[in-house]
Order: sequence, then structure tokens, then C-alpha cells
Amino acid sequence: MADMRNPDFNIPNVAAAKAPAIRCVDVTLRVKKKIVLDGVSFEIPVGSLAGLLGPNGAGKSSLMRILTGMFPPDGGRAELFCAPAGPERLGVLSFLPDRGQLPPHLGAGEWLRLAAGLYPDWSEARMEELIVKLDVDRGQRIGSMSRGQEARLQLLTCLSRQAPIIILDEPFAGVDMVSRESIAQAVVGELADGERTFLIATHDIREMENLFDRIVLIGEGRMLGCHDVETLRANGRSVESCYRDVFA
Amino acid sequence: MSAGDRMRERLRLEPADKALLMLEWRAYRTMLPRDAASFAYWGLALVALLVASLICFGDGFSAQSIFALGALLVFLIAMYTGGGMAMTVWENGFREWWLGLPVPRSSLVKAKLIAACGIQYVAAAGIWLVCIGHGVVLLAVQDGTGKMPGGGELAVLALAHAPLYAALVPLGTFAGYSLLGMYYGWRRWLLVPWIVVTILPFGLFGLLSSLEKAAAPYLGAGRIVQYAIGGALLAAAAYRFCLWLAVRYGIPDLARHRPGSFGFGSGRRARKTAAFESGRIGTGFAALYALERSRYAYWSSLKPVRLVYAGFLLLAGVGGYLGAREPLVTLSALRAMLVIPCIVPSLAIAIQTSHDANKRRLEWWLGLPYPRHRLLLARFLAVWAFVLRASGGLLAILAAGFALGGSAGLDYFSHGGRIGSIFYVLAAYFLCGLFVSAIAFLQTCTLRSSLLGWLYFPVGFAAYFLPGTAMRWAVPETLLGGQIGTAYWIALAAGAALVIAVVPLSIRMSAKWVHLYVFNTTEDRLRRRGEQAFKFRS
Repeated sequence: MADMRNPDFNIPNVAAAKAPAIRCVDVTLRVKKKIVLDGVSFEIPVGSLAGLLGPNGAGKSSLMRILTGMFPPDGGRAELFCAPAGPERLGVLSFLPDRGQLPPHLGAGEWLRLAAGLYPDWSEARMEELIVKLDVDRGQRIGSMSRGQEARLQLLTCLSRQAPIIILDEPFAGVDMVSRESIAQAVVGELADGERTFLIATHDIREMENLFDRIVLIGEGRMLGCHDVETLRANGRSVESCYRDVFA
Repeated sequence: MSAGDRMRERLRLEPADKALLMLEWRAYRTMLPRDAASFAYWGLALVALLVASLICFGDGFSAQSIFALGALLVFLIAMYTGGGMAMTVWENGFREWWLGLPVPRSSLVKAKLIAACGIQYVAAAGIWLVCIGHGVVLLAVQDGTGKMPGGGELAVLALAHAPLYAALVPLGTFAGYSLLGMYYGWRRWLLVPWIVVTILPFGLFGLLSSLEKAAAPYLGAGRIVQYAIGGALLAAAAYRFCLWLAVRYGIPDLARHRPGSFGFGSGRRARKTAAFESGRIGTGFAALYALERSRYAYWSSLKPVRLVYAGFLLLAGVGGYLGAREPLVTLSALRAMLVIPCIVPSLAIAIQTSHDANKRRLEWWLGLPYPRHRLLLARFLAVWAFVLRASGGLLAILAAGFALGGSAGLDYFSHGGRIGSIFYVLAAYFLCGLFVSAIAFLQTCTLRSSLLGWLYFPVGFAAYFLPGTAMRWAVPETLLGGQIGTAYWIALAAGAALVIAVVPLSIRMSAKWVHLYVFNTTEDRLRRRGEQAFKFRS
């Protein structure tokens, strides 16, 4: 769906795109002289559910911020559907920041109505479906929500969009078990069309291990592996054992 | 036990209190000059402040004015720093560890207050030195008509102001820190006088910058010392009040507080504003604007805020009614009051984005699929729409009161094009406010390098005083109630052209670097400062 109001934010025809949804080539980032990312390169094909795995401080959130156009890399290229990532590409992706917060003075319903106006690719039908699935109370003020409730509302906001790339940064951080399950189920539901591409940074490997079809491992800002999960399994390994081999 | 022993006993610190004080002081210590680079920064900042002071207040300002303005600056910095620190306690990740320390609750608060005063004394000493430097430079270059007193008199004035500055530091710090107890319950009502005290001093700049030695018998050295004693007594009262409020209410509230939910915990259900109820949200930029406006709509809908605004409306009406007999005085008072709506948008612009970054709301905002300059434009328009609506209401009631107050006032303005002076004053202050807001946007560029930060600091800070000082030239007293000459209208048009050029430019520049706030949350800065301090020690 193209946004006629913002020609800069057109969404590509995903079916026609044969190139990878996400491509990083030698991405480097420095923050105040500290090297946060050092030559990270990988590709995520269209329709994949990829896990971005690594310990705390590995550079996962920084990499996601580059992909979402928050800031440019100091070196290398980050691309979404073969075009450089940047603020003008925010129309092709839906981003859930790590421990992000929505405006606390708004009610959930007010926020969703605003979001429908703010996001050109908003789907009312999907939103209604997810409100039930994720058990979101439209009348509740965001500032009074528990962490799990707000996490579900944030995920609902992300998934109610029709953006072809979904980037979730630690969607389970600080969330209770019931909310984790409903979040994981919502992600599974979104996979049905096979066209959306997910990149999920998480520590909860066990929760998501069965869903990933690709994993990207980074540690101390460096690329430590990019594996096809089917191939790992064919070799008698799991995502968790691969993670332990690399980081333990 | 002798009086001396009793005093020593009172001042004696327990080991835990000492450790607590060191803990709090560590947060500030890295700001002090400690190595060649930081000495250079401090020196540069003081020189920049002195140059800014000589440029802004070099011509026609008396020594009394300079020291009085310095005193106001000391109070404002102490108050804003105290208030800022009190705000960060609520969202600080260390909060629960801090609350869990096995010491009396009063010790926790006392350590914070003492450490905050310590760093403020350093800043106040810097300002005092700048004031002296200002006097010395002007004394050296002035001819016989200059307003600077002789060297001896300047020294007496400087010595008299030292205790005043020393008293204003704790007064401002304790008043600012009292915010710690105002987050929940009935204490939120105290926010109203607190906000008034933080904003009103800006209105005093116009008055203090025009103090004449002959016309100011209240500014002799003896009087200043008396003010210092009064300030110290007030500071003692502020200390007791702050401590009581923080220990009795603030700390228990802090323990219950959930970060990010300030002020929203009490009402679980969302309050619907008119725009949301009628469905007028729109799409695209209109929705972006509605999002920004919702913040102000929410705050304006709170009962304490509405009551206070109603109080101001009443005051404006009564003031207008009584002022009808003295139209010129009313216009002068209006000019002084217009300083506040000039400053509020720039304060909001300067604070909002970093506040959103601290609350982890910035990534959602930056993730909206719009160019960043549009995000900032929506923010800019929303704050100005709010300020114009609020001040427009006050002006309308003032005018209504003025009209009802008798025919003398209306007759006065109906002659000789005097009505034009009102429009001129309003337009000049509006343009000044827009200009100051544009400067506030440039704060984002300081995240690019610390050198830019040090250079911007005096400029950005001085911008807040433009409406109170520079506007003395744009709207002089002699102009009020008279016919505005063509030269002034041309100057106003030139000012408008400048503002039309500067506002989009500063929004564009801010848009270029606004993402850097993501890396510059209070937590990030403290962590980096901690790393630096550790390097310095080791």
C-alpha cells in the first residue's frame, strides 16, 4: 500500500522483491570512541523469521536502530529491500523498541486512534483482531498499565501495520509468562502470510527457538555466525546449543 | 556541654552519612575542574559568559544591575538544577537500591541537598567572578559618563553580594528539590506555586536590568547584606520544608512509583479530550499534530491546572478593570508579563525531547514514518498553539476588564494611533518568543560534540533572557502609549523576516541530530561520566 501523503515513505511491492529483505554489509558504528559494531554482515531473506542473538552489550539494539534509520552507520551499508536504511524507509518496517514506552497520558484507545492516523499502512481489521487476541483494554490509561499490558499494546501497534518488515527488540523483556505466550502466539499468527519478514532480538531463546528459521549471532559488536536453523537441526544441533557453543 | 560542643555534635557526621554524602558528591565531582582539559573548558565557559555579559549588558547597565542579574541567575540555576535532580530521582534506575540503604530517610535527602549545594556554590562563584570581571572591564574602558562606580565602590559591592549569592544557592536548591515531594496526592497542588516560582524570576530581568544607582536606594551594600540575611533565613525555612515534604511524602511515594508513569497512576481510566471524543484526529501530519497536542490537552484538563488558569483569568480581568485608569501602567505591566509566554515554548522544546529519551519514548517517536523535521514541526506548532491559546484567553479577559473599567482607558488608546503600540508590543514579543524557541532547537546540535555543548551553553542560556533584556531596545518605555514610528515597523518586519528564516533552519538542523538523544539519556551520561571518573582515579 503506497502512502500518497508521504511519497518518500512508499512501501515496495514485496512479492516482486527478490532481493533480501534485510542486508548488512560490513556495518560499523562508534559511540564516543567506543566501537559498538565492527564489520557486521548478514542477509535475511523475505518471509523469514530471524533471531538476532547475543549477550547484553553485544550491539543488537544498536544494529536494530541502524536498520530502523534512527542513525546511520559510521561505515558499511544497511539495506532494506536493496535501498539504504534511513528515516525515509520507516514506511517499510514496523519497529518495537527495547523497553520503549508510549505516551502515558493517553488511553490505549486514544493511542490506537492516533496510530491509525499516523501510520499510513494501518489495518483496522488486524487491530480489532489483535485487541481480542492480546487482551488489550482500550479504556485503560497507558500510564497505569503493567509492563506486560503495555508490552502487548506496543506489539499490537507494531503488528496492526502492514509493513513488510517487523523488527522487535527484546519483546519479552520484563514481561510475565502469560503475556509472553500471547506475544509469541501473535507473532506466529502473523507468519501465516509468509511475506512478512521478522527480525527479533531476544534473550529468551527457548521461547522462540521453534519459530526461528534463521539466527544471527553477534558478540562484542562482531559477527559470530549466521545460520539456517534447518541446517543446524540437520546436523543434530539446536539454536540453544549453537548459542552456548558460541558464547559459553 | 558548652554551646561549641553542642554545635560540633550537631555537625558531626556518622560514617554512613559520610559515605552517603560521598555517594551523592561523586555524581557531581566529575563536573569540577580536575585536569587540564576540564580547566580549559571551565575557563572557556567563564570567558564566554563574560563576553556574553559584556555584549548584552555592556552599554548603559549599572554595576548594581549586573550584580542583581547575577544574583537572579544564581537563584535560577540552583532552582532548576535542584528541580532537575529531583525529577531524575523518580526515574533513576538506582532508585530502589538507594531507598534500600539502611540509614534514616532524612539522611538520604540531606546528602542529596548538601551535595547539590556544593556544586551550585562552584557555579555561583563563577557567576560572581564574571560579574566582577564585567565591572572591571567596563571600569577600565569607560569615560567620564560611564555608569560603573570607582574601584573601591565596586569592591564593596562585590563583597556585599558574596553573602547574598551564598544565601541564594541553598534557597534555590532547596526550593527546587522540594519537587521531590510533589509527585502524588494533594502535594501535586504544590506544583502550581512551584512552577510560578520557577518562571516568575524571568519576568524580573526587565526590572533588574534597568536599576539606576540614584533611583535604587535599596541596593546599597548594607541593604544587600540585609537581603543576604533574609535569604539565609528563607533558605533555612526552605530546607525544613523540603526535608519534611520529601521524608514524610516523597520517599514513600518514590517507593510506590512505577518509572514512566508519573502522575498517571491515580486515574486508571483514560480521560477523553474533546478532540478524541468528536473523532477529529485526521491522518498524516494532522495526526502527528494531534499526538503532540494531546500532551497539552491532558495537562490542561487536570483540575489543579484549570483552577489555577481560572485564577489567572480572574486576576487578568480585575487587573484590566483597575488598569483602565492608568493605561500606560497597564501596558508596561503587559510588557513585563509577555516575557513568560515567550519563554515557555522554548523551555518545552528544550526539555521534551531529552525527557522522551529518558523515558524511552523517543524511539517510538523517531520510528514514526515521517521526516524528522515534520516531527519537530508538529511539536513546535503544538506548544505554540497551546501557549497562544492560553495567553490569548488571558489577553481577551484583560481587554474585557479594561473596557469595563471606564472610558478613560479606551479614550486614551483611541487617540493618536496609540492602539498601534499595543499591536506592536504583542507582535514584537511574539517574534522574540519564536526566535528563542528556534535557539532552543539548536540544543540538539550540542550532542554532536562536547565543545559545541560548551559553546552553546552560554548562548542558549542567554536566549532565555532575551525577552527580558534585549526587548528593552525593541520596545522601549518611551514607545508605550505613543505612535509607533515607521522605523520601528520596518524593524519589526525585518525581525519577522529573520524569524521566518531562522525557525525552519533551526528545525532542519535539529532534525539532523535529534537521533543523538537516543545515546544521551541521563543514564547514558551518568554511565559515561562514571567511566571518566574511574579513568581519572586509576
